[in-house]
Amino acid sequence: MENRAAHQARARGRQLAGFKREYSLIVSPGERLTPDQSGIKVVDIDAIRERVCSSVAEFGEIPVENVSGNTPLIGPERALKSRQLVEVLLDLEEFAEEQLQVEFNWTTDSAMSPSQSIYRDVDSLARHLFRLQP
Amino acid sequence: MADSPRTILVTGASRGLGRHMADAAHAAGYGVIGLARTPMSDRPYPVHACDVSDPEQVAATFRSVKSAPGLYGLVNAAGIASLNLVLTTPAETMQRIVGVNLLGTMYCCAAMGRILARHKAGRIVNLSTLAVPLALKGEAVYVASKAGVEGFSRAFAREMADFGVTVNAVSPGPIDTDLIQNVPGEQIDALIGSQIIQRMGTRDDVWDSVSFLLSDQARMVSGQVIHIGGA
Repeated sequence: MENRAAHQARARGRQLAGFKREYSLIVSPGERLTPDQSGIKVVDIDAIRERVCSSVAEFGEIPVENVSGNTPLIGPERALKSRQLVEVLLDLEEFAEEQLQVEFNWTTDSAMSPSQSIYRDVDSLARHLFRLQP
Repeated sequence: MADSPRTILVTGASRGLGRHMADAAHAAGYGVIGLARTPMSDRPYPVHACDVSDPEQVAATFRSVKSAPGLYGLVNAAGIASLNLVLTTPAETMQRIVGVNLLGTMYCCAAMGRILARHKAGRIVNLSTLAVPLALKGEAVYVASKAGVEGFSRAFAREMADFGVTVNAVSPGPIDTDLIQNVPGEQIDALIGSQIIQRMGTRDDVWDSVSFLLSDQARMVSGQVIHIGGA
């Protein structure tokens, strides 16, 4: 009978190798992926989150220590005015193109949905950017 | 005009008002990039192939021009019309008219808006028609599409004001272009008779208003519709 740890290791390896399909299962805030194990070079989720935080701090004119993964970007408690959100998205579009080498198309029907929007908070936006990577 | 050349992107640049806007902007010293379904090589400025009713073509085209030096303005002149009663207009024709006139304007505004928001300056001028306030019989679909352009322009102007970008519409009465070649003479006369200034406008009448809206002097004018000839 197969050793449980070995089985888990193989399953984990399959997840990493095919993480383009599987990332939603293994990526959560605070979890640092090591995608180089899969042979695919990507920027890890923590680095992207930090980049989103610094952009929100800069364009929202908020001290960076006051911006976290939970900082809301839309809704009544939002940290950004609509103009500032656009500035953040323009900034992250450049980041995505230059650093992630992907196109960040920010149009989405659920942009203003508090439950589904990729802009609901820093974490959801960071995860969206992470998932764009090949 | 500013010391450094500014570049204006003009849709519908292969003929009619769009071609005149592009030629006049070029003659006025602007850099010009034309967009047209059928690209041309006989103009003194580049004209890219782009069907503005196709969002993917629009996105690809704006990606290819976004680094053009001095990109400053957009004139949405691409437009089509079909003189017909609503009851006898095929659904496909309705979709095509709304697709080019309204959706095409929206796609180009969104793509250009992202570029100009980065620059924190710019001008967008959308062409409408005097047929909107006059509610012309036989042009309901065309009128609906252009009424949409006017409403869109007013609301979009508020979004872009934060970025130093003005958005306005210019609404000419009948101008001697292909667009009105199938409109009966008596209907043209009736339309001109409904205007405040009762003569057929010229392409330069339209350019003069567009030129003003593109200029620095129009920095406090946004969300407006200028009726050429008056309605």
